[in-house]
Amino acid sequence: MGKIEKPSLAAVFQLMFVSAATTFGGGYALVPVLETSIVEKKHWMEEEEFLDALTIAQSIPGVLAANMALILGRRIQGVKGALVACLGAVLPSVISVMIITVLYERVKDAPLTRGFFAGVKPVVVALLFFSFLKLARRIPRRLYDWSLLFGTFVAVAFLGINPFWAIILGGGLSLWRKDLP
Amino acid sequence: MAQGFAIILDLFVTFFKIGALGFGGGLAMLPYIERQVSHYHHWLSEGEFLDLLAIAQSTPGPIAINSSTFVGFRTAGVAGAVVACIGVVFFAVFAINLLSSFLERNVENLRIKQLFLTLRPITVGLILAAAFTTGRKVLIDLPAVFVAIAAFFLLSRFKLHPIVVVLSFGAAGALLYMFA
Repeated sequence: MGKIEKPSLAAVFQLMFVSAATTFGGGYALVPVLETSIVEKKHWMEEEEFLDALTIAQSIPGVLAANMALILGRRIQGVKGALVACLGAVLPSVISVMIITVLYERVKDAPLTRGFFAGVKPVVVALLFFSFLKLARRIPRRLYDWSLLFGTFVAVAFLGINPFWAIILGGGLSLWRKDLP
Repeated sequence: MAQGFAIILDLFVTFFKIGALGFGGGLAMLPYIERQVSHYHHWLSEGEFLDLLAIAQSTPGPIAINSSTFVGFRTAGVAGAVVACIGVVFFAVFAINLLSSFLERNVENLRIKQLFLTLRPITVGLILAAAFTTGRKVLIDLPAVFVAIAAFFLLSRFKLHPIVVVLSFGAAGALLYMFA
């Protein structure tokens, strides 16, 4: 961080609002969108910082996307940045859900809606896999790290274990780590 | 009026609890939301909860925020929607600001460095799990698989921004369904 001048609060809000407004399928789908914008395009933070922000967001209860917004906003612009980013992440939901709730019966089977989601849903899968590959490059090629990675994957995707337990286990394991200088 | 205020307060407290105790992102939080909203408070009937599932996943934005808005809006209008959303992020606003300032003061702490080094692969494993669970639900026919592969190449080879890819395929799908 800090290679270019601090982005304005308005820029932070705009980025979060646009990202949340164009993301379908929940918080995880927001990860690659934010990563591309914040790390690659705007260089507001480094990839490792982003990964750590994601780690914190997952280690705290609550809405993943809101947690991400709060952490990223704070890193970029302090407490004000956190609040503004959170507002930006929440506002598209509030507006769109209220509109859709009112119009639901009319739009739910319209070809426009069905077609849109038939196009968008597979893209979300591609996005998630893409962001996995990108973030995985930051994981050292060591048996220990990759066992943790795949262990978590199997436990959550196949055994239906809540991510919470993976985080707790990681916290416990970190107490035994001695590989730092 | 007093009754209206009571509902607003109830919404806030309920969604504060959901935000402070729910783990693992929107989809993992839905069963907990259902228990609070349908079984405990009877704000939504079973059919309405199915509407919530459909709407929360087909409107932009995080699923948990979409769910909070839906319940708040159905129960107490616009004020209800706003209060439910504030409630669900309330805990995180404080927790994250406290935690961040603690971490910023202790960046050189070895324990904390080790903690993050250990949690990083777990975090990336959770992303892979999200990709897989979503894929299992969505990639159910050949066109869907084709779209996913095409989108992947647009992202990785052509470096298109995710937003561009999402909206292009959405628009293409809408056109295809309307005129085919």
